Amino acid sequence: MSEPRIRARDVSVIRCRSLTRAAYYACRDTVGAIVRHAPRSRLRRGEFYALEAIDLSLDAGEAIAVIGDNGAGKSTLLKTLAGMLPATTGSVERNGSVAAVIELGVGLNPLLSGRENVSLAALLRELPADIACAYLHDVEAFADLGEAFDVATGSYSSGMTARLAFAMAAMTRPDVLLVDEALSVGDLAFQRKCTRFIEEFLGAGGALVLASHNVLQVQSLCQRAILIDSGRAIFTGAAVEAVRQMIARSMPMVETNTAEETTIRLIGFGGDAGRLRTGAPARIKVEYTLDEDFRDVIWGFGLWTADNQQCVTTAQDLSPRSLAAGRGTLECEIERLPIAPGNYTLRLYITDRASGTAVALSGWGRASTPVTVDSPASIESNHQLDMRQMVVLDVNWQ
Amino acid sequence: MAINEAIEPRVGALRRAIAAWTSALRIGWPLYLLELKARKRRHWIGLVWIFAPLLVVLAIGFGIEATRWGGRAIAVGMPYPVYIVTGLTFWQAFADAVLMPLRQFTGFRPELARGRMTVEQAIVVGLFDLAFATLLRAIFLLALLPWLGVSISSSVIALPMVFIGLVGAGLAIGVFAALPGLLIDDVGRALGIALALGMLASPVFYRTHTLDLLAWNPLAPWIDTARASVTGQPVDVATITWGLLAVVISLLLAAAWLRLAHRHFLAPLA
Repeated sequence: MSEPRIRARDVSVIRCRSLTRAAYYACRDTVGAIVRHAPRSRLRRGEFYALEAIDLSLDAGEAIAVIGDNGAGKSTLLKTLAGMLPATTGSVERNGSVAAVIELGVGLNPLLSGRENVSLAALLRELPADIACAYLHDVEAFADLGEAFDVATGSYSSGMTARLAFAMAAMTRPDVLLVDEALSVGDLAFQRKCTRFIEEFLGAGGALVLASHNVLQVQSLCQRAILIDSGRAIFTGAAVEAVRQMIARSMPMVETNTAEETTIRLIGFGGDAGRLRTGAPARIKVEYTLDEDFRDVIWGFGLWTADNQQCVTTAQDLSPRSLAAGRGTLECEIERLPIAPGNYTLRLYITDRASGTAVALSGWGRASTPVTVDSPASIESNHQLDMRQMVVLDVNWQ
Repeated sequence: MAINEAIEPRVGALRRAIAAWTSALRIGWPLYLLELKARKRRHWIGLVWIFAPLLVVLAIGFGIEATRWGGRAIAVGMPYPVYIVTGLTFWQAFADAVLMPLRQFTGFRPELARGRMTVEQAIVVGLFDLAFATLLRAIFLLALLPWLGVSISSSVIALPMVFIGLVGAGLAIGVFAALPGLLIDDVGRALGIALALGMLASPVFYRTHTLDLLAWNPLAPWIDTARASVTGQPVDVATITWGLLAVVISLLLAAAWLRLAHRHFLAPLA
């Protein structure tokens, strides 16, 4: 079995919040490296783990995504894998050439033209003249910047910079390509071009590490993903599952207030096994307590977003009914729940049919009733979550 | 839990250092040409800056010499314009060498931080720049001196050695200061002030030998020797020999520091 293209073992990166303190530590560490002082047992003042105990292995032809919130440590991990940032502890083995597109535009000399920057890159990589010439032509063709290729890169837009940066990395024909958000900057045509390139690159045995917030891109390009939070890998596994976990973590939490007394409350809202699933049957059962008899009343419910800002849908039974004083229950059934996966709140009501006066309410004040609709992890359901979609249409595609 | 930091292995350290300098020397010249191209786009008068301080100082020298005050108070053993224009030429070679590493590291900071360029490459590009400027100043000085009434003698063959010594000494100091200077701006400012004070403590504008406090200045004999080499005075060979030896040792220490320390100082910038 061939060696992994990249193998990171127990990689941690310690950084310091203050540059002046970092300079002091750098002096100490340099001396420490000379005298080989004993390992220290704790972080020094101002230090923190930018990455902590990351293990990762990437084989040829494989694509792995690095996902997480801003500041989670995605770029730090990519820089460490690329060798730009040394791991404080642990090791990174690279078998093959590595090219990285990290922090667009950084590393391009703004006073030099695109062509000159490519020449500079070829020079720094010490490419022989003929290969450097071919590299220049390849980058020019791939970036497709036209006359702007001979203009100083300082005047480039972010999209143009993305084109040049990606082309410069991709045309080195590396064994491992590390891409940090570069694909989301260029225009659609360039994004498609990059995606096609990556598919061919992977098909030819290349390995990809992609850091991105674009969940569709992550799921379509990568088989596996590593979800990072505060420098730690909190999930490593199938891309769809990692995306699901990332989205679930970013969902707003429902504020509940159980102290509020209500005369109507939800005692059951679920489908099979008591869980609500998109497209599955669902049943709502509520319990009410009334002080007197009511005639000619209707009841219904509304589903609202988790932050109580927007109504997703309402439903009410307009058939008048009579409710006797005391405790009772009301029920209804939904054949196929057309609600996208996510967190919601439920509001219940019983009102007088003619006047609309409330007889019993629940969830209209601060006492929200949280409801979670689930769906098995898939590209489609992750897309629904990512788009903050609330309704799922039952469509017969012709 | 112990933090077992990954440390660069000692085995092969010298080989890696030699490889880094060899690579830097191989691509230094074309890199310098590209850098020149980029710099040219920011400059209006370009090369004039190399000569401007000398021309200004020369004018000041003539002005001072023309006054009775200058004639009485400044006894330098040669025409005053010659004294200060030679002094400044040599001082500038030293000062430029001190400032060069930090200027290079700051200019190439993104490339260095992302490992696209090595610290040795940045230094070599700066060395080409330094050599170019120093060479132009030396030619300018040698062309100017006959016009000032100074005849060039055989002692001028020591000139390259004293230039190498001055630039080497400055470079060693600059290399030690450059890496901390990347993280702390105060280092650059302190260097500037130290150089200004150093110039006042050196025989650039006046003789410092008679001042006890300034007698320790190790640069003074170098500047005097350099001045002697272009003004036809006897050159102290011992000063050059021992000085060059000290400079070589300093440069080796500076190169070792650069190799050992750069990853620690560049990591916070990556």
